[in-house]
Amino acid sequence: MCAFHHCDVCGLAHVFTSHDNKRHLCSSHFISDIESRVFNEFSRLSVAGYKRVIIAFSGGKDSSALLELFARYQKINPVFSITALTIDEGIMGYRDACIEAAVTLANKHAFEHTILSFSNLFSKTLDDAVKNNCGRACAICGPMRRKALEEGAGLLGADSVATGHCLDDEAQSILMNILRGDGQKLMRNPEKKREGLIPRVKPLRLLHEREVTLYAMLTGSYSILPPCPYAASAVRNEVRSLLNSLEYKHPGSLLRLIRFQESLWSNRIKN
Amino acid sequence: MVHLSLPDLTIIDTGPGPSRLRDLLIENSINPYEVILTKNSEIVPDDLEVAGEDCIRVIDVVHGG
Ligand SMILES: [Zn+2]
Repeated sequence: MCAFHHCDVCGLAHVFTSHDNKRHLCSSHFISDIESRVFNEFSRLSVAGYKRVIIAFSGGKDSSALLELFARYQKINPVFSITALTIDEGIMGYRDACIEAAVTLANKHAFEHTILSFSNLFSKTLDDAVKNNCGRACAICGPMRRKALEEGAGLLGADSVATGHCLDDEAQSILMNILRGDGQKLMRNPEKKREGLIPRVKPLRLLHEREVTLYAMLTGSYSILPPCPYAASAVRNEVRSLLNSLEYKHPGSLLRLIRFQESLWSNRIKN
Repeated sequence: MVHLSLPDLTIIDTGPGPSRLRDLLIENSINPYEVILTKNSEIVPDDLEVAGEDCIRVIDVVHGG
């Protein structure tokens, strides 16, 4: 038998126990904990001079949580001019549900919302592009999505593109770049200003995916969407499973990977 | 008998309990870091003790469901 914990702050029944067992929070204190962490990041971005922010908004749970957080921050501190940008890759039986969820949430918060499609930008859908090459769908989709976001953000006059990448996504990308031997990608800090490229900012990059999902569920911004039909082929699934297992057994592993990459970035500047 | 309802719609019947949810997940090869749990549509933490005929829905944080 084990002792049942209560919220560390108010003593009410908790809904969240961190996987390192150190934090127990009720619904409202979990929401305020997430908001204080992400609002600090928003303040940092504002101080860094970002004003015209485009949210890369797929309608999935991570970008929906990000949109919700921006909406709540703007009520207290309306420092950003925000447009949500949804890219329609053209994936039959998948994208329509995501776009419907995206439109609903953007309307709820009265955000400007622009939808750009692969078929308009590239004269082909992702389904067309991967017709004979399903196994490489993610490798084909990634650069097309990045180009679409860049074009959309440019058209909308953005000084930054905010994405919903969380700690888990970032750690997976670091390990995948190491496994591919891609040192250049590992060394690239997306927030650093480069000629001709709009900086990417990732306000959720220090939140676990489990925290982002729970925040979306508790704030009513979570919708269950169908899985991407191409995702099963991704190497990322294997990397995710490996890292999640490590994170559960050795809490802090993901964050240490992020810190490792940051140390590479700062050493590069010194050198 | 505690029932775990998984994202792929299968249902696992575990022992009568009482058991800590986190232990039930691990016994069934589910990483607690990858899931959120609900009981009667309410979110519950994975250190909750369950018993009797409790039915727990397991939601996959990566893919939903
Ligand atoms: Zn509380």
